[in-house]
Amino acid sequence: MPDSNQINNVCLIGNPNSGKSTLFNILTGLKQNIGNFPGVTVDKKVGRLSLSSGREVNVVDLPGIYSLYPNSSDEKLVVDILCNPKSEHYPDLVVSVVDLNQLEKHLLLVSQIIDLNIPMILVANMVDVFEDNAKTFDQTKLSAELGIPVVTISARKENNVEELLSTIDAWTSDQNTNRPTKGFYQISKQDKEAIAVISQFEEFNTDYQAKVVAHHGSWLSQFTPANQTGIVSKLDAIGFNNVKGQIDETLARFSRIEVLSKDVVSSAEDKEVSKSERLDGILTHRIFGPLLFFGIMLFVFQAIYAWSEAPMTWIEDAFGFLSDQSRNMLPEGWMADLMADGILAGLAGVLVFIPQILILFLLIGILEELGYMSRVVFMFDDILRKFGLNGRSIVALVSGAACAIPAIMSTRTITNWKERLITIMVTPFISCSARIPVYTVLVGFVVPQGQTGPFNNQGLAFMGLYLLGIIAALVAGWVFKQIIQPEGRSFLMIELPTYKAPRWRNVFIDTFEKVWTFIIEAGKIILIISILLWVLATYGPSNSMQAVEVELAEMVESGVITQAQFEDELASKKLEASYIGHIGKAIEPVLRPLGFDWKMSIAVLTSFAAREVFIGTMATIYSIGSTDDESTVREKMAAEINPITGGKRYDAATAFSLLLFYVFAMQCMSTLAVTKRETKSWKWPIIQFVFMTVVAYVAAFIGFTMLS
Amino acid sequence: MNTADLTLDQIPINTEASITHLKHTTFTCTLLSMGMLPNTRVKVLRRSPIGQSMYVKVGSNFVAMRKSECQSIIVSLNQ
Repeated sequence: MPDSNQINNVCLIGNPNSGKSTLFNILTGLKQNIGNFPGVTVDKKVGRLSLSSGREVNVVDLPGIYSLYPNSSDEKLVVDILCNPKSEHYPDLVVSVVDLNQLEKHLLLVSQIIDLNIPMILVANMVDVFEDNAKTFDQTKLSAELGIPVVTISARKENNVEELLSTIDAWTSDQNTNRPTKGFYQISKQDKEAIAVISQFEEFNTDYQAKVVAHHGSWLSQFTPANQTGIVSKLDAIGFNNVKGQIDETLARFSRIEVLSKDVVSSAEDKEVSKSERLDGILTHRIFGPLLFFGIMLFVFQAIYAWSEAPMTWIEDAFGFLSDQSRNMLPEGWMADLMADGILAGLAGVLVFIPQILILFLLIGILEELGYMSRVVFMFDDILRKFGLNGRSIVALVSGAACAIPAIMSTRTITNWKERLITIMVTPFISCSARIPVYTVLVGFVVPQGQTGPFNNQGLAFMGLYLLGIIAALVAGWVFKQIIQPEGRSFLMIELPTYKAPRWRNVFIDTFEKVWTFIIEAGKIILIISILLWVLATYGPSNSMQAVEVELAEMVESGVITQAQFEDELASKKLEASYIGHIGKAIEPVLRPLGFDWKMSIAVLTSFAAREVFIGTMATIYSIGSTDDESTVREKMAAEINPITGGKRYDAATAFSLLLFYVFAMQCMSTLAVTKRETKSWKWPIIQFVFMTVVAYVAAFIGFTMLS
Repeated sequence: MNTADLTLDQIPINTEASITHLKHTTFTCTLLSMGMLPNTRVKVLRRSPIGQSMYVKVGSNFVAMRKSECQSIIVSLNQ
């Protein structure tokens, strides 16, 4: 029993697609905190709810589960919490959410939680759809049969949420209420034997809790590894059949539930069902289905580029303004430089991608809410499995075209560890937003303006680069599939919910969360690296920086260059004399086989903050001063002469080689950091970095050799 | 269990059948909780483009499953 000073945990528990998260969003709005459950990468969503009595509770949105006999890691987490009253997340009150239209199916989990004897409220959701189908529901009878309070709501229409709130409120003043008044499942003889064994290890609130613990004794976190092994061997000794025990219980529960649900709801075919069935005749058609998906993706990416252009310019302009202001306000010197060229430049580099990322996640969010994404998972699961991936990887691969960071985090829905790991490893091959500015600058050096049929040649080249990324991801996936040891069984088994109009609140909150993740995850690292790069580019060994300045000042005096040229030349020469200039020259021999000179080597290095930093670096190197306008940079680069060959520095071969390098190379520290966090080891980010860089090097080398 | 047992992956597209029982596997409970109960009406609506996944109607629900998952579901054709 929680003491009265402690804030109570109210846990939302329900099947996937029960509308649980919609309810959570209504109860907590944007006052939610997303974190990780300790030790596992499962999203932990907690929000504070203020009740009308003035009391507050923590609302926890636990991952959707079908039953207490789960297969996936996030479902196991819920079971781990429910089996351990000492867990800090153990519910003081369970709000069990069911879809009234799927009552029979969803009552399985409800009946199991009843037997754990935790105070609970049953929320019968989606009553609006239910009534549309002219069905009737005997709420009083269900409540009496189950021995718990029942509230009907429509989370989508926000109907009757007040009744739920006042029921929770009433419970907070007397926490002994709402405890199930009777059990549901009759413990069998075999169960009793297992319970006797498991009770040697721990005390339990109810027999059923002991039974569930017995089934999961091999992995529940409340036991030490020694006890886990001990439990298994003792249960084996009495001939305990884990699988059969679970199935027998589930069937026994359903035979009671079947009768009960027929008693309390009238049956009628859901109108939405036949509508969805007809729609899917086209949307998941063996030929039209995939074609339609590619069409939708084409539209999504068109929309991203069309809609994000203006806001991206605003963000760039705003930072240009801020940078000027800070130079005006701060005294001239390193502080002003650090502010303008280090911190503000770093921030701009993160924030400029928000429009693209926001639009992509908004559109994917809508597709998910509609119910379309689960169809995509169905259509592509078998193809993707050939490449070591899973149908659910498709969300990560599509998201990767905006940014690999939220994409990698979206792999949490992939239950099989090997398939999830491979998805994480190959997603950064998909061309992300940050590569686009680099492609834009370089593509013109390889492919001249012109038309091929109805297509613009440079547009085709762009598509080719994207395609290269996709092919690389698939091939790499196939290779990893051969190398990585399989772990556990992989499942598809996914519900295809009927198509529904998007719930906008869910879409907006989800999009907001993903964009926020990007800002925080990418932001902190890009900022640190930007400052580091600024230091390396501003300072140089001993007096070399002053020497450059003196030399240029003399050139102004003798009239070789004008005062205006001085500023730009100074920035360029200083960069050459700086630490990063020295590093660039030091690694030049390594990159020379790819056709890169020291200037490009510097740009490749600075791209580790984020790939688009390439443009800013080139602007500085080519003495364009503060502007990093892409066309100006392009002109400067186009005019550059290769001192060795006498031809253009950016000939087709060099530019192609650079492009290939940027398609394949792992140049994003933020992504590596997220890979480290999601795989919980340094091993995988290191492998990711090394293999992608090797692929990039080899590809660039081949490309350069072929064209030169 | 005899060899004549018909599994869900073997029935033709759009043919009504009923679930007889489920083979015992580690994921049987998940199948049951997704509505694959004995005596439930079931129908394969279509296959995925390369044919290894099935789009199944169970009662009035839709579920996508791999062929290997369908192989644990024993059905009989409805007359």
